[in-house]
Amino acid sequence: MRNAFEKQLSELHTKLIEMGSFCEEAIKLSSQALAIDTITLGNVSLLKAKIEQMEREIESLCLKLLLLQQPVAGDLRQISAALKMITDMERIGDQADDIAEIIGYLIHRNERDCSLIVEMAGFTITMVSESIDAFIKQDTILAQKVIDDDDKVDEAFLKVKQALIAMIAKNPDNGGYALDLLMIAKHYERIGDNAVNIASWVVFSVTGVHKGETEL
Amino acid sequence: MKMTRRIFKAIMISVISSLVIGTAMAALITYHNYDGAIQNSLHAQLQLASSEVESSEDLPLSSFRSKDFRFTLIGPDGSVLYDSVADASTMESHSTREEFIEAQKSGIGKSERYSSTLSEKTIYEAKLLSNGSVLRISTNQKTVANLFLQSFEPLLIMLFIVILLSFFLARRLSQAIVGPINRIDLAAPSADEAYDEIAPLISRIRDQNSQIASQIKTLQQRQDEFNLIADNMEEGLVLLDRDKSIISINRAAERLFHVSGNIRGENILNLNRSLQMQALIEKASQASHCEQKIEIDSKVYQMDASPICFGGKVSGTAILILDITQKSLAEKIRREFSANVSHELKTPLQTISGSAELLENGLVKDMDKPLFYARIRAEAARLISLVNDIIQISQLDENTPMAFEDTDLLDIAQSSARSLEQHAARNGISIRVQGIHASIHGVKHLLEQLTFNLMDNAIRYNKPDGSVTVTVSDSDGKIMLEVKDTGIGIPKEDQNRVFERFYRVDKSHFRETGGTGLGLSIVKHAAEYHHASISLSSTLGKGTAITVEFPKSI
Repeated sequence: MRNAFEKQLSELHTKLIEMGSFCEEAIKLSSQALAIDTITLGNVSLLKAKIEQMEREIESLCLKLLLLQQPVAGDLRQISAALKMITDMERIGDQADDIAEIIGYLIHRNERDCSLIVEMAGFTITMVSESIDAFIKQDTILAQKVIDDDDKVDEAFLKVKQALIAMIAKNPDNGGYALDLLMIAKHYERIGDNAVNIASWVVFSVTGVHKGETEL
Repeated sequence: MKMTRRIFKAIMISVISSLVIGTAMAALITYHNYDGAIQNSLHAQLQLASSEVESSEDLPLSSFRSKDFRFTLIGPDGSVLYDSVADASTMESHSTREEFIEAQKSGIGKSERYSSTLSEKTIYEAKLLSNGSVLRISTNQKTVANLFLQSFEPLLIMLFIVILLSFFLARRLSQAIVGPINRIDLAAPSADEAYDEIAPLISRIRDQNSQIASQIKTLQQRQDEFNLIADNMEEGLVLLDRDKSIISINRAAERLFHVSGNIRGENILNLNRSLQMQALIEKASQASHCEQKIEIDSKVYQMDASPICFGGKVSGTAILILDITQKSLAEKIRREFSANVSHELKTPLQTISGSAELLENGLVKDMDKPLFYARIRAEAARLISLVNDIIQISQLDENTPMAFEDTDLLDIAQSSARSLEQHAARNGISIRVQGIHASIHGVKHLLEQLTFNLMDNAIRYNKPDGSVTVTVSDSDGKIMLEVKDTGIGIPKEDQNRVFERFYRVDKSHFRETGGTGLGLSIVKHAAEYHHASISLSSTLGKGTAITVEFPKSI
């Protein structure tokens, strides 16, 4: 009985890693598309579909575990954290897809205008990767680093915003273009927040304390 | 099934059954004897009484009163004449009684009758007297059932005590029997300790124990051998089970995935979760061999996944990891080289073909024709020098053995300077060759190529009114050739790459300066052929100095 449960738990673990790697790939592709070309854009929506499918799979696995095994303590935390994490991962997939969609419209974008956003995307990719690494290793220190790194992304977002404001001030005709770029930057900023959420659920599943709570 | 319980059960069953049977047999035999004794005494009493009655005619029958026996005198017609217990006149006729009829018939009659409760039976014996009347004697006797019932309570107590006693004894006994078997040390059984009957079993166990131990030892040895080989392998090796968990991972793979400690049993995705890895393992789990290039830490690895099949089913995966960073880099350079070569060859050919086409169609004015001829010739010459360079470099690539001879480096430099004199003068550059005569055992035309190309570059990338200084010196057992110019210099970020084929620092203006782009590459190869080392120092805008250091003894 316990054996079967253990097996299902490790299956859950593996599936979460798989889903996480899809998310990583999706945002990597979106940032590559932003920096270099638009060839890989189609793959992002494919990945998004895969991520959504994985979300449903993991969801039903979690519910099955909750109903049939009635886990307690650490196991319960792990499963409920998984349920929360997949929501954030799914959001990441969505955001990446949205970014790809906007990039599709920006055929005449300037490499220089994008460089700040690409840099920002680099931060968020690292954050997502590290949050999944933290999950794999159940490493609360790494998870905490991800949570702290969010400031960097926020800072980068502000920088992008300033640059875009300056761009509009210089040439008001660029307004629509600048707003599209701002949307992309905003999506990356949101992805950073999702990574923070994942990391804080990792902390919860290890320690039982969720962010903002004090230990009882 | 427990042996102790079984033995205990057997003992108890035999004790109880023998007890029951024994008691029953004893009771029956006793009863039988008792019955016989009563009948005998009855018979004797009857004989005694009858002889008394016969001898004295009017004996008062009332003298036959007895506690144990009852006498009845029955007349020939069956009427009761006398009874020692009841009043004779009230008794019914005994003519139908069994013993009476039998006595009348054969002189003696016997019968038994049970009382209504079956707890007693009455034994009768009758004797025909000489006067035709019958004397009957009878006694009451307890039946078996009654006897049994009477002795039931003590019997039960006795039975209980015996069973209780045998219960404890049986327990002790069965434990004592099983004890030696339980005490056998299975790790090192000794045949003397236990029963002779199980001695063969024990010796068998002992044999198998030693067999198992030796097999485990062999297995352990093999495992150690395997681990030793795997750990000393340059390639990474990872074995996965059906659930993609790690069974075995060697040291190279551990280094590569940045893991340490015991990670056996962990899922492979914990080490690397890239999509390529997932695809690789997924494919291998469907029983087909698969290769995948995966980049880790900016190094390229080739991962070969082979399914491990057992009985037609995939029971695991073996992944072999090769570092192909160098190989893929070389491949990239080769690809770039072929692309560059075709491009370099195509450009002059296009000029030639275009110019020739214009001439052919008579589109060129007569006065312009010499210009076109000159261009065709120049481009053809360029093509020839390019092809020469390529031949040179592919020869060097092939490492074909060439004839070594003693060559004077200063002489070579001077002859190169002479052939470049005109070229230099056209650009207003002065060449100076200085130093000592130093002899090198080497391939002469390679050394000429080396010096020529270095000097050619020094002139080509110089400033107007600049100078080129070639110095041959001998220091520390090494012969140095230094070519120093006062040219434009090489930016720092390009200094490492100038020896690559077709690499140009200034990609947009190289056509003006000419050259094939292979010069320094040839220099590098020629130097390598002579085991010489090249060092480059350059300051942007001030000039470049390239030093080739030849070891004296080649």
